[in-house]
Amino acid sequence: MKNKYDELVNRYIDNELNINEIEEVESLVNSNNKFKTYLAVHKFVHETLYKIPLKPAPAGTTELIMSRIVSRLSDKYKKSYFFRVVLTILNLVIITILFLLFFYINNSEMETTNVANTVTQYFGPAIKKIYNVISSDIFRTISGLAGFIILLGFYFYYNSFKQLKEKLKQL
Amino acid sequence: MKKLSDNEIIESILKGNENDFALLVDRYKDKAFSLLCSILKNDMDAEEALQDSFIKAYNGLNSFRRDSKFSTWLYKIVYNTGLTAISNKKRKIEMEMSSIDDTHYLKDEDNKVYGTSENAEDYLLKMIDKLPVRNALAVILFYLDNLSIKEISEVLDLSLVNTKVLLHRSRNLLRELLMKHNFQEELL
Repeated sequence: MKNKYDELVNRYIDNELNINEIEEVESLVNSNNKFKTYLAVHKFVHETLYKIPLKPAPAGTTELIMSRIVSRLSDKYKKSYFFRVVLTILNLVIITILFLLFFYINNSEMETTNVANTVTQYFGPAIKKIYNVISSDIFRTISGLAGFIILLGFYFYYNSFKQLKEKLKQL
Repeated sequence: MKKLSDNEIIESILKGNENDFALLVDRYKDKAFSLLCSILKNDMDAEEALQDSFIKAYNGLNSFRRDSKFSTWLYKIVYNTGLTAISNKKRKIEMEMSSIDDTHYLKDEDNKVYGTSENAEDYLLKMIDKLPVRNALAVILFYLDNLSIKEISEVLDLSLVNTKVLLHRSRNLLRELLMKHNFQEELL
């Protein structure tokens, strides 16, 4: 019985039979009591399976999952925050150096020259070349541009920090 | 208020509203938990795997191609997380239906469940949890989650034919068990 009618009954339950096969099933139901019982139990299985109870997830599952996601997000932001701080400090150092250079070149020309002479005495022509470069107009233009880019970097950094704060607030 | 579709929620999450993921968790946590309980046969392990599944889904949301339903994609993650949890704990759960005698596999559990069942329906619903993992999952995905055979085959990583055979075998097995205990007398 099992092997013979299993496929037929399953396909009947799934509405996959053609007209001839449906007629075959109906004729079997009328003529074969075993098949009738077999089909009835199979139908019962099919209908009862729709009543499978849903197992509710434990209370607080959503909050737990979201807190795990938030903590991962915070870690992610913390990591990028660390690099931003390092970059900012580096930027500040560069700005300070540039500021000092401008100060010496523009406002204390005599002193700067004396300092340069002293440095040249001790460190040789290589340093003199570097000094010539940094006191040139091209260098001033480039360092001015660099300063502008750094300021722009500061703006974006501040902006991203604001966004991070907002995101953390949302979560 | 209009109920947002899964894709609308995903769109919002990808735009930066991470907390909208809670909507997806709320929508699928019970069904995912039911699946994991069937795989792991243990509520505590299922709870842990449930969290891991959703974290994986969140992390992989960028890679979710919308060519299948979100639920199918999520259930695949849930299924794989469940399997990983089993292999981590080295549990001996027989996965291949074709290599075992179904009735023999269920014999011990069947007697216990029959002894505590009030009627045919109660017995049948209790026996679903005792089915081999893939059979139970095929039944749950088909009847509880209303997934099509094609979607179930994607979740379980089986061919369409094998998925259908798996579902048919599960029904046949449950029918045989009911008839073994003469429940047909109650039904006719």
